[in-house]
Amino acid sequence: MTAHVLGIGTVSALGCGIDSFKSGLEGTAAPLIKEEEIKTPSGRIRSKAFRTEVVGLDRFMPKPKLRRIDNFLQTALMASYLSIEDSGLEIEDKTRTGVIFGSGYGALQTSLSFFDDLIDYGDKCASPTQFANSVHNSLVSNVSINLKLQGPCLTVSALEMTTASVFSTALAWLDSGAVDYVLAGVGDEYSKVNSYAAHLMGAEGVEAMKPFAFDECSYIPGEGFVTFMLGKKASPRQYGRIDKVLSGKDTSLADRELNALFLSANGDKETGRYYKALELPHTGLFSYSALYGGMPVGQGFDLAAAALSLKEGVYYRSSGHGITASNQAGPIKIDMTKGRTHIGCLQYDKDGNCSLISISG
Amino acid sequence: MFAAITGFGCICAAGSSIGEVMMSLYSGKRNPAPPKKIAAGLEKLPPVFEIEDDLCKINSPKGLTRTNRLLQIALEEALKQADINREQLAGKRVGVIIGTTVGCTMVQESVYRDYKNHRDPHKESLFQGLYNNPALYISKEYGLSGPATSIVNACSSGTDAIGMAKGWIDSGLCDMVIAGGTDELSRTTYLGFNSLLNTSFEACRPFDKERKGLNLGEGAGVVIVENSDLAAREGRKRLGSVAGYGSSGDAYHPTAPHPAGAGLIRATMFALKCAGLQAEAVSFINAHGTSTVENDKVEGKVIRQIFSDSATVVSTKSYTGHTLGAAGAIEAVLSLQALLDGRVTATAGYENFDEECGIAPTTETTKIKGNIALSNSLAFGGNNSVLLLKGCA
Repeated sequence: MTAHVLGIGTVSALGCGIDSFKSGLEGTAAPLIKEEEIKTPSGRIRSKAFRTEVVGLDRFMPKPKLRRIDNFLQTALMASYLSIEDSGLEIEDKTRTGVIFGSGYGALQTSLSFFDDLIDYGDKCASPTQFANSVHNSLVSNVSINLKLQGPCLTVSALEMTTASVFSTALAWLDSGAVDYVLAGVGDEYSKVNSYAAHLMGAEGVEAMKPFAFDECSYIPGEGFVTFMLGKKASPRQYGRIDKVLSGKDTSLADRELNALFLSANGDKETGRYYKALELPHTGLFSYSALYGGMPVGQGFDLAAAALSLKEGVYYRSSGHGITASNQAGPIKIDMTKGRTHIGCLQYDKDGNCSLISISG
Repeated sequence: MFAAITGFGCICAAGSSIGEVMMSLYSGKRNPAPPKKIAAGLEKLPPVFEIEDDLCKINSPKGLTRTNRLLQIALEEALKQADINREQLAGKRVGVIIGTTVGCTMVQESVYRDYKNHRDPHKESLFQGLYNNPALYISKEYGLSGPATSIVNACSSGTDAIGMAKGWIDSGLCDMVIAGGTDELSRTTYLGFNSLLNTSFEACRPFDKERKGLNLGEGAGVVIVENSDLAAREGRKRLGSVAGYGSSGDAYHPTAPHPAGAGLIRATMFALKCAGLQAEAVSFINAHGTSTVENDKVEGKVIRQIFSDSATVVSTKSYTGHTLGAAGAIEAVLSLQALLDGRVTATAGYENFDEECGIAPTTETTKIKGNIALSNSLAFGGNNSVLLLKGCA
């Protein structure tokens, strides 16, 4: 089972669109990091988070409609419109385009706002709109409604294994012939509770993420949404081909012919120990989480980085602090004359489950 | 090779095992009542189908959510029926795919209240909801090595989980898949559905002209889906198979179904095509049948259009309540048992034909011909999922 990446849409701390994301990878744009005060068991602290701002959605939707849409849905809609635009596709039969999204936490802020009403005003004041929008699949349904996509619609959640679940399902849909295209996306939403949780994980006074410092907690929460337009057939504008999606306990790297490995390490010590235990290559090792922040679906953004690398023919310099050969080397031109280049995007969860998404071009 | 079913189990308000549940169904027993385990500050409390605590006993680690406790009860029954122990599971590529709605919530209301009121919730309680993701919990608890994911597709989650399990088997990704759905009653869903004004203050009445809305329920359903060749090689009895699965979005409205059922028609036709069957081959339909005015109207229309108005239709939600992410899985299990029994139960609460629905569900236990059941699920957001199950009586 394989799928071609025909278009990508990103909404992250680097801005909206694949060009903004690329600027971040190239080091010419910095992520939006905001600081706010949160209360913790050790008192009030200042805490950083990678934040998104959706700009330009009114290119695709009327402004009055946007006022009724919460922030997380705006990120998903923006990423979705951008990926279709990036693909240049004119979808003729919308009943043959599926939508699958994944999220580690779902619409977190909307869920908390629903609770806020119950806590502040009582059970009789539960908001039907917030309830409907807090359901995990509200993003997929609203995106499918706005884009008029009528194929299968699915939402999955498996914490750090979410991205792999999304892509293995998307590949299976394409392989079964049920659809011609799949809009596959992952995202997570920030709330103050994330910063509180990061504090409990041991992130205190963190100034910068250090993805390769596996023993150190340098986690800074992030948010964003990334979507991919996938198809069975290649197109001249495409980014590469997803060849394999593996997940589980037995995803060893030994038998994978990978030219580079993009780690979703994000400064979380609990998952860092698994990356540390790997026999990692000295070259071709990259991490970009310090550009978009820590979130369960970080692997999705790594996949976007890998796809860009294949399209542009370069590996971008790793972000964040930490020492690796690849990090020191700066931008590296990929030698495309030696056949296909294979990049693996690898993510661990706290129980040692592992997922690997392999893309080539 | 096909996706064989070698075991199944369920727990819901109607009973804590498939045997108990079917006994309740065939005897017409149902007991919706105001919730006991969740408090709600409402003047009038819509009834629910709640599981008695003594039905929900299991040796479980501290901190396990009720949602996962229910799931584990259903899974143990399914494994026992399939005659598979934990050691045997460990030697196979076993995936887990579980539908849920409340099982993937990062922060539970009580924890958020503590946070908001500066009572500093501990790491364990904050992460309890997060790390009780049902599929990941089962994968860890049973030491499984295959993929694990929770489907959070609202009310079609359980159906989608079983449909996707078929895909995992067909594609060779897994030898065996633990597939199903689980959900506990929670204040969030109880108050949320109440705010949407689609819960009934009476016992639900699927497809009835006087229906007033749904009753929420809780429970879990699990099927063991495996490579038929492997099951045969290892001598496990095949009880049925996942014959077909179809899914399609309405792309119409965030909470209301498409008035002509466009998505449900596509999903049904795709499931039939997937199974290589004609509509006439379907022995009975276990409808989504929530008892809401709009759902039953649209679903009835589609059933009549595709299967004729004489199709045998049942809604088992009248015994279980609407168990949300578990509903599709519980209904798949009940449909499989009905195929094995050669009969379907009456649809409790149905009395008056509604011309807008255009179908009359069963009013008494009804014998069925053939061995194919169709189970519908229509979700929030307009997703429609359809399973075709084959029984091996």
